[in-house]
Amino acid sequence: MADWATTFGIWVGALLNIFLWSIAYRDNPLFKFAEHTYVGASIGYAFAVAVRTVKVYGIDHITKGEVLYVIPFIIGLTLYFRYHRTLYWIYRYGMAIIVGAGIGAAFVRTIETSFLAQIRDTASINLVQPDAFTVLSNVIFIAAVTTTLYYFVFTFPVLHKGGGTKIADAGRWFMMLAFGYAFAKTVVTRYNLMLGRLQFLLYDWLHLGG
Amino acid sequence: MAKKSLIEWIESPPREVLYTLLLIILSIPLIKPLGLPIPVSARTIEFHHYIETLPDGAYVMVSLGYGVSSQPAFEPFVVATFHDLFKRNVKVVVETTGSDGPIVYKSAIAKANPDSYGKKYGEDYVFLGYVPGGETAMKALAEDIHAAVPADYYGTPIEQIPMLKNIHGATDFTLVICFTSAGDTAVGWIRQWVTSYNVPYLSCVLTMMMPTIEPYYPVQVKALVGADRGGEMEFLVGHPGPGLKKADSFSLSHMVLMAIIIVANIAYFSLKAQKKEV
Repeated sequence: MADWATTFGIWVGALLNIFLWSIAYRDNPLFKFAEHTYVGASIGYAFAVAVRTVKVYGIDHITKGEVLYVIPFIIGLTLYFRYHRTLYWIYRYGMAIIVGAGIGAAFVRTIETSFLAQIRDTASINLVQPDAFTVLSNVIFIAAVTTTLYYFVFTFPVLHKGGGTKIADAGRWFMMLAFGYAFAKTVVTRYNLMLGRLQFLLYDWLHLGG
Repeated sequence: MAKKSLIEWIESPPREVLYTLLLIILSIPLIKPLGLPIPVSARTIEFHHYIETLPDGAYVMVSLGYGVSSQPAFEPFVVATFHDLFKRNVKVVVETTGSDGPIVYKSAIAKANPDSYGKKYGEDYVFLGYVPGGETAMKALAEDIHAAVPADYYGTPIEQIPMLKNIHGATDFTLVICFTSAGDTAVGWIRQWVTSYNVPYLSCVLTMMMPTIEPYYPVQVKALVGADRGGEMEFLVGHPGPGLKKADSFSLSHMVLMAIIIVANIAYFSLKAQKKEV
């Protein structure tokens, strides 16, 4: 038998879940209540996590005598100048350092990860394969890559005239297929999320099946 | 307003009717499973196989890059993966890149129950908690865990955790597994751990993210699966759970959706034909 706190939590969760799903009918006060509760709880939690993060990753270091950790605090504090009428420009320095560090960490490896490695692997596809399915699959892959790239060559309008239109059209079809695949995957994701909540309602709340 | 004919109603049914219909149809197999066949996809087998072939004593970095909003989608797969890892003689380091990650970690680890495998916290597995900074955090972890994370989630200084004493960075890990609902996180691990240190990488993402991460498979991502495959992973590791219970509803939901699309299209073309005749 679950303790009263767990039971109370399950009831609150179940009712909020139903209130949120009520949007499927139409916007209503119960949905608004659940929505605001969810947002409020998320912000409250995020605030508590932020306080802990500042303590663990900042204050604890400073109290140990690692004075260089004061610098990130100063950078962080500059962000609050965003709300000052005349000194708001100071926040740009803090933001520039944060964005710059993020881009710096990602950019160097982006060229290799998302560009060079992709080109290398596509170029190294071997059409001679032991089974017909892999051969067909590789042919389709190469056709999709080349026709899609062709579709986006806008510099030479002549390429999109006459027979060239057919190649660009093929690229468009491949893209439409890819979008269809992406949309189907989106539907599956939504079902997965919905089924997870439905399991909570049926098993944990109503004790049906499970 | 003119009343809709039956065929017009079928062509564009009210959404509340559709949702109610779906809710009823999806609930039935959850309460009473239909026992529809569940084929295990090659991708899930690949994911499981990679874990199965880990050498004794291997260190595995598990990143939980999702939060409570996508917990229903990920948890079956994550719990099954924990079972798969705890069965073996490997060391598991878990961290999260989302601020609500600790909530989903506690839920998943309680279900996987490492104690039942004789695993001890700090010796066989450890939770570093939320490591802020996104990709810069991944980079910092790869370079030096001791410098990046001063203490684990429970406040124990990293140098006092036995399993982390001789572990410094990405080069000490045999595998990194990332569960994430964010594209940047999935690709961030590739940039910081695969491209830089050549650490083999498995990724489980929200199913809708699959087309985005697909170009990195199979060279940079050794195994790529959608979170909806949790039931298959539960089956492979021999721990049936909520993922497997969802399987029937999943199959049924796809069939219902296809039926609705076909019927609505038939109605659409019938109406079009009727208008032409008039």
